[in-house]
Amino acid sequence: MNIFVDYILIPIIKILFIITFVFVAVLILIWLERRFQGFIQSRLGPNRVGPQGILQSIADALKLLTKEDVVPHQVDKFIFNLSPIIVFVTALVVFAFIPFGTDLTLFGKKISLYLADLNVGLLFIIGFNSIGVFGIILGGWAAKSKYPLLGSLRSASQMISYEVALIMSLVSVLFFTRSLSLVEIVKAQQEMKVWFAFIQPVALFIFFVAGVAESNRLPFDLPEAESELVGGFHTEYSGMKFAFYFVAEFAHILFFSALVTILFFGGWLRPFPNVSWLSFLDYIPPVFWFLGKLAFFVFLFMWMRATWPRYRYDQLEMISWKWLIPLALANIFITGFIVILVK
Amino acid sequence: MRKTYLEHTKEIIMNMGPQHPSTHGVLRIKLWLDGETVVKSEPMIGYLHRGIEKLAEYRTYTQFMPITDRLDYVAAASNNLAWVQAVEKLMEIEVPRRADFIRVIITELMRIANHLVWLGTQANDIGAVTVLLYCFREREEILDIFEMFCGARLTLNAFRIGGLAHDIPVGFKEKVKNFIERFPKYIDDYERLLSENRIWLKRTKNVGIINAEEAINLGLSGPSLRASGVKWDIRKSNPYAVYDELEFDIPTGEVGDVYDRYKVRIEEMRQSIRIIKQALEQMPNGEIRAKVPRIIKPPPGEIYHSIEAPKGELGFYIVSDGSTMPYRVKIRAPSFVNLQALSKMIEGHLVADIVAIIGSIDIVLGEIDR
Amino acid sequence: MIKKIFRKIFLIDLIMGLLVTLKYFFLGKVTVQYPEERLKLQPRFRGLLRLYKDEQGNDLCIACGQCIRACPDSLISIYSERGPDKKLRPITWTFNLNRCMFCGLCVEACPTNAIRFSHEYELAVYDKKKLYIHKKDMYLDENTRKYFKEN
Repeated sequence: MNIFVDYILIPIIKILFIITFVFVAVLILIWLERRFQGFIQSRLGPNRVGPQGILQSIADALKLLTKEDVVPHQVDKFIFNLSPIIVFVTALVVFAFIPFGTDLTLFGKKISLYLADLNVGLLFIIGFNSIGVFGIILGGWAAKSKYPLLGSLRSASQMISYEVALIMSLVSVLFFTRSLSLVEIVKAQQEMKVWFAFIQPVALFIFFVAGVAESNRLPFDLPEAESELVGGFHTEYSGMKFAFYFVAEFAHILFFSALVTILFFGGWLRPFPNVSWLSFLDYIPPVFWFLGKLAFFVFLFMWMRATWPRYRYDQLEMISWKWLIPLALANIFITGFIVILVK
Repeated sequence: MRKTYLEHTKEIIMNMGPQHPSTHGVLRIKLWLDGETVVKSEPMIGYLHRGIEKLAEYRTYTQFMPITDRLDYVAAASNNLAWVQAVEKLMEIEVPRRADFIRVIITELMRIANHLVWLGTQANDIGAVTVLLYCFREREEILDIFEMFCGARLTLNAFRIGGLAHDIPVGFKEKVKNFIERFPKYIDDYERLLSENRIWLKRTKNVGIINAEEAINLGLSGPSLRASGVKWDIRKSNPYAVYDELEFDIPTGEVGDVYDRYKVRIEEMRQSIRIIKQALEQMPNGEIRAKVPRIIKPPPGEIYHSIEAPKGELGFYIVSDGSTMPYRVKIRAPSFVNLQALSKMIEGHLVADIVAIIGSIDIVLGEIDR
Repeated sequence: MIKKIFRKIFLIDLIMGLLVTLKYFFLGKVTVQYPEERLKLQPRFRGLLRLYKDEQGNDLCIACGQCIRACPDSLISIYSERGPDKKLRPITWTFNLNRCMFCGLCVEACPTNAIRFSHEYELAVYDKKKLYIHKKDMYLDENTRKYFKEN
């Protein structure tokens, strides 16, 4: 009985919970982005469908479901159908390793708020993210026409360059934690009593910029910029397959915000753990701290989208190769040096 | 089929078609691309041709005025002004001073409205989506002023041969004064969002350069010419209406790239505010319409009159044979002539720059195709 | 010089842009919720054309034909007859809304101020024949309101 509950029932519940969380969060994010962008632009966003327009995303999802799935006749059918699935699945799977908070005690059982905690968790996550790039390249390739091909080539080169910068910025964080498991990283911040954002600001900056570029958001969204090459890699997709790409993009936003909070901002730890008169904040469960910080970074993503123009793609590449990667390398050397000196 | 392109590395011929989110209207550009760089380009127009010059031969001079509104539909009052002044020059009518001052105020407000649309659409093409909404919010206030003046927001038709259709209503001066006091802060906001922004600088500096000699040879006019360094403004060189009594500067650029054109137009908006302020103060009382016969029959002859429209030099060439309808009207549209510079400007640039360059020469297809 | 490097490293120019948009996040919004709220129109607004009667209820229109001559597209057509009081009155007065530019030349040309702009702007119809407005519909009364909603 115990084996059944421990190894089968609880993981299944967690899986369902994660999938629901991601879907609901994406739906709310789409509504929030439109409303938020509207508020910045001195107008109201959608506010008709449902109270304050919350049901707008559900209306959009229904519309996409009932749309005709147009498949041009010259496409490679297997890859055409496969690429949205790749992108979507990888975007979902990485949420399995993100810890939402400390362990809960329910019905006398200790339940950890993550699905699995590998001790190479970080590497696994980044690896899965890279597989997601395949989905984008194949999506443009399968639709055999000029515009999607150009779009997917640009997108592929952009994502590959920023992957390198991403990984390099993480290495400097790992000097302090000695482990790739996400739970261990947060625990290390708890032991050191300082969040990594304050001792590794350069790495935070590089990671954030690379995260924005990886999820194809403004100011780096040239592959899917409407005003340039009609649609980029998702020109030929319609209906539910397009919805998959779209959901995957928002899931990426959530994912990178979650990674930033875990790696640099303490995950579920509360701010100022040493200050004693703020100890009433201990009563707030750690999950809420995690979600609060996540919300802040999502807000930052949307704020950046509403404000800045976009880069041309060769300037994009130049930023990554000329500035971010040398900066990350220099950061690694200096951090290593300082750590050896201190120890 | 695709293999031959790759093996022989011929240039790709790509079509930036009439339906495109960024060409301002139905403009079709045929591009010869080598990878992503443009080798040759050919704009193709004619998708919005409505036969306006032919329509003029069957309408009287007053009846043609609402049709001139539809030429450059973004800044309609300038077209009205050019037509009205051309006919008045032909008939040698003297317009009362109050009418001239009000015409100047309306035209300068229209210039600000035009530059707002230009700024919004150019920023939108390059990616900053909020600037579009902010510019249109300001434009709403200007259009409200127009609605108070003559009833229509966009196609004004408020000038008549010999003066104006109606006088300004009560409360107009206060509303305009209120607007021009608040407006410079909005321009400062746009500048804070865009002018120093490193992404904007990277996208617009040294892109689409055209130097002064080439600009004059191609016949450019308006802010695009002034950004290349040529100090030429019809309001200063052949002044019409009361521009010779008002004080304002002409902004010029140096290099002639997209950034300079952006800076010139932003500065022009500020100068327009200055002109409106002076015109409001100096406006005399008096009548608004000269004594013009009911049926307008200009003497036979021909005339060419041009003004400084927000996009360049807008000119009307009228041939009259003495009857109530003109014999021939030829419209020198600024966007039509400015478009010729497009081919020269985008040579050697990437596809991603084309949108920025089209936005910076500020074309509107209604004028080009007529 | 140092200030320039400082600005470049700390992305001051980008942050200034962010602050501008944040300011507008908290300021008022300009949306007008359409069917519930309408915009306030100025007195001189050019809405739909209407014929008007004087205080005694007689037509102001004397069928002089100035509006027909003024219109650039010849959208008005009148058939008139002399009435018992030797005054010219229009019998049929048809106006083609299909191609009207709302330019206002006819309003200006009318000597008795019979034709004027009203404030109606919701002019969509389902049947194209309704765009040819005849005399009995040109007046502003209860019959016409079921075709065009008034502001």
